[in-house]
Amino acid sequence: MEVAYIIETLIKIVVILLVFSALAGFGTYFERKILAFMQRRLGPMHVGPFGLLQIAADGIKLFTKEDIVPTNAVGPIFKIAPVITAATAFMAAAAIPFLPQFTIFGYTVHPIVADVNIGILYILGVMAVGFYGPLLGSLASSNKFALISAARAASVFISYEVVTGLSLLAPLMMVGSFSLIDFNNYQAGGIGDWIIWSQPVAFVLFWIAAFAETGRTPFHLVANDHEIIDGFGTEYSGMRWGLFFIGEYANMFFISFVIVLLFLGGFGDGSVLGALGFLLKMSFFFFFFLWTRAAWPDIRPDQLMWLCWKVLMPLAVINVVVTGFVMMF
Amino acid sequence: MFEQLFLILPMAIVVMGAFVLLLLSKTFSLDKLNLVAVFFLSLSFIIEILRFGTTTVCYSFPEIFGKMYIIDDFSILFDLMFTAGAILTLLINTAYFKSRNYYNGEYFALILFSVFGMMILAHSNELVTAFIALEIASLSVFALVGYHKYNKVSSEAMMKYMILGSMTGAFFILGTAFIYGAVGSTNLEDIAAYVNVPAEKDLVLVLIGGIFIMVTILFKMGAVPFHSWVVDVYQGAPFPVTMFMASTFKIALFAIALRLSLIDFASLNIVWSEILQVITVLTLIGGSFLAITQKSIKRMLAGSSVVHSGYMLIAYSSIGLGSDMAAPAIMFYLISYFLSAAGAFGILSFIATGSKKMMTYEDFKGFSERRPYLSAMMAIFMLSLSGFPSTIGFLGKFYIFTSAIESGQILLAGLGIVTAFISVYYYFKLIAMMYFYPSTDQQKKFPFDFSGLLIGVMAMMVIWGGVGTSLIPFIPGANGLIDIAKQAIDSLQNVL
Amino acid sequence: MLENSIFVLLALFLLLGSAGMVGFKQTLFSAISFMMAMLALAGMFALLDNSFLFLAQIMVSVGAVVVLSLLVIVSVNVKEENLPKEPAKFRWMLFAVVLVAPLAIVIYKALTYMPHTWAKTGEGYGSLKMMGMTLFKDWVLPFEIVSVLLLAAMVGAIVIARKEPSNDA
Repeated sequence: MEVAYIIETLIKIVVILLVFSALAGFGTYFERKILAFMQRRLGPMHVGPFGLLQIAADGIKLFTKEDIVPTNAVGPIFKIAPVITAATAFMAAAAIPFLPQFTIFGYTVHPIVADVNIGILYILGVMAVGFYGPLLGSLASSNKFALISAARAASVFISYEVVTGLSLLAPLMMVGSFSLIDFNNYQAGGIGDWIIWSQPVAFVLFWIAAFAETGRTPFHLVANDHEIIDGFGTEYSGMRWGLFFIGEYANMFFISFVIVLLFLGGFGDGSVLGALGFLLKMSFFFFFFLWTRAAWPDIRPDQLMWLCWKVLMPLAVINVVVTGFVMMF
Repeated sequence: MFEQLFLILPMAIVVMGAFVLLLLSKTFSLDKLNLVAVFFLSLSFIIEILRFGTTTVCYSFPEIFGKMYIIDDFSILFDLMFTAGAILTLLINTAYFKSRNYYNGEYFALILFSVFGMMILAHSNELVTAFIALEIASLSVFALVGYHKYNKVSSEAMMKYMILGSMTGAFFILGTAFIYGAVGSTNLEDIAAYVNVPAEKDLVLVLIGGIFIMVTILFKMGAVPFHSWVVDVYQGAPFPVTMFMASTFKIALFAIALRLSLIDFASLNIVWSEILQVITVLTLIGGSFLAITQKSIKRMLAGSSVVHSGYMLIAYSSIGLGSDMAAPAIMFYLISYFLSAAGAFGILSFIATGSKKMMTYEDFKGFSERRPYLSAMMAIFMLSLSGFPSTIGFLGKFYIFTSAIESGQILLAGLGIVTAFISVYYYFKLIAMMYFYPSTDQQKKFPFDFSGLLIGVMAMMVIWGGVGTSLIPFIPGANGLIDIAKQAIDSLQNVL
Repeated sequence: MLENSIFVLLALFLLLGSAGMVGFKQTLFSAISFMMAMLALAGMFALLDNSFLFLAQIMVSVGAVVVLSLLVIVSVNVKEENLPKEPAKFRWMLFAVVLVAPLAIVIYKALTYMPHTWAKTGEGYGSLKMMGMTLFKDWVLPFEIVSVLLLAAMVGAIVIARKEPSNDA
């Protein structure tokens, strides 16, 4: 039993790693195609049919590029920083149920690596550690654009972590558990049971904070191309830069899963239809990340801070208080 | 429910006052804010004075707070001193913070936060609560010390105090952890019960924990191995803050120290009275050196405050050696030092309102011709600080030395008397400067104002506390004060 | 046995991190060593089966405290040559170690005298419910006055840090 369990867990880990590394690649393809569509361009077309092999070309380029460590960079930290980003992104995946449990060849598979009873806290905690990737990378590369990026990263992540936590507090009070599976079961009754109807404010706040936590456009300040080149990634090259990239896209996927699980009913009762719906809902949120990139400009860092501390955080606190009162009476 | 609320009302008033002041800080002028702060503090003061001596020992909200928050005469007496100290600090310096442009509304809120922390500290019957309360008080004081932030000396003082203070503050929580490890509780009564059952081996952890806690308390008191910050911080802080620290914050530390040694570690006192004796000797000698070598009056008073800690440590180390007088003697000395030091610093800040130069001994030459009343009061405070008979300072020292001799610490008492004679040098030097030198300036008019009147009242109380009996009702003289001190200590020991 | 070896490993990291925090000259390395120590401490909580404290430690200490200190390091941006010269730093540290050593030995002795009976953890130890009950029932007074502590600290910090025109600067 023990051995079987360990083997099962290992297989799950490998599957998640492979699937999401590949998805991160496809993510870039989707992003280019969708952006191109919205901007009335064609996007990648030359490599393979509809440019599908562009991913492979990019991969080959990243792998074969020379790995440059600048002379003044702090070697060990510079080298380990991208690994932190990628590793923590995948570590967060451990507590996410990607599909309802299913039986294959008479063996019940739970598509979650570890159903810890504090799953949400775990994801938040691991993401908090993940911020060290950009932060340390930019501090270690001794580049002034990277330094600006580091200052922005630290302030943005700290601030929006507060919003994430506070906005989650109200749904947590209702469900009474930190486990994502419990969240899913709470909403299993159908569309009417989804938490989004009882917690619309929390949903919107969490969604906004998700943009900041993944560093996507309107809040794409940490590596804002037209201001600070590539921010923390300025000095990186080759696969080290690629790891940052994979981490970012994996985070986008995972946070889309988490939003659906928390607010939009997850996979519901666990039927095939529910599972398909789950993937569909998640794809919408991933698509929304790309959509905003095409539709919205970036905002300034001070506006970002203003939004966080003067709008979102008070709203989140009021939401918690109101939820408390409603639950009490 | 409401009875219970009434028990915590004084603290609640102070902290609510702090919130109100924060809210008003942008709209009200400094004068009005000052009055609001004094209003809240006096409200708390009046409630405490009505309650003193009438309540029995009890806990507030015992079913919610457990036995963390105790109310007895001991803590009420300390509350009275904290609120009185803060009120005096605010009222005497009304002119001072108008003369400096770096003051703003938050100043008053920070003072009230600090007083709140001290009050909780006096009431806390549990080590973690005590630690948090101590940190509330110290953090506010850190900010107050650095209030003049564009002044290098003030900022340096704040950094020094904050870094050293937070580091030594950590010792308190470390000591608490050790004690918890041995006892399994941080409640003072549980600890006392554990300590009173002799099981030699297990007491070592409690002892180590107690020593760590002592390190924090001794540091904040400014006892000698931990004194390096005192002079610089006292000098760097704005005058009102120095006054607040010397008169009020110092008392707060004795609140927790006395509670610990009288309830908690009563049967262990004998073990560390040796450590305390060494520290006392160092404090007395080192403090005297610090005070003698200074040229500025503010620094001299800072140095001498170390010596006064030394006197109180004499009595503190006698607690373990079986002197009944020791604890009341400390209480009495605290009151006497509070009156004299607050008065002396009050006069300094009163003078500093008009001029911005450093006040050295030289600046006081011929002061009696310029401001005869003020210099008379200064002389009274100096006499009291040096322990001259017929002032309250003399009686304070008298009780301290009596308790030391009672418990057989003849050498320590002798050393105390010697340092008292040394202190005559630096206190009387100021009196000599004021009276025996001609004035260099023209004689000015001396305007009458409220701060001066208040300082005058304090000077009267210093004299009255030294000679008076209970002739005038409601104003306790020397006998009355020591009775109050004894009553407070009794309430503490009745718990067991 | 496995627990013991994990503990030793975590303790090693904790000690190394703490030593690095004090020993490194560059503030960046100090902050990272501090982070390492905090992570090891979180691991200790995990070893004690207290999952909430484990994650709270990671989120608060690693996710917030160290990030903020890194933010300060970034904003100050001290060049290595501008750091104060500390020629005899390690000699002083050695001196301090020698000074503290007797105390450490006493503490060690005292700990070995402790009775070797372990307190039983109750049902649901380390669960959120237990943590909540402990914080909001047994320790509610310290928990609540911590908010005053934080408020006072915040007001103090803002007063010190706020820029305002001053005439006698």
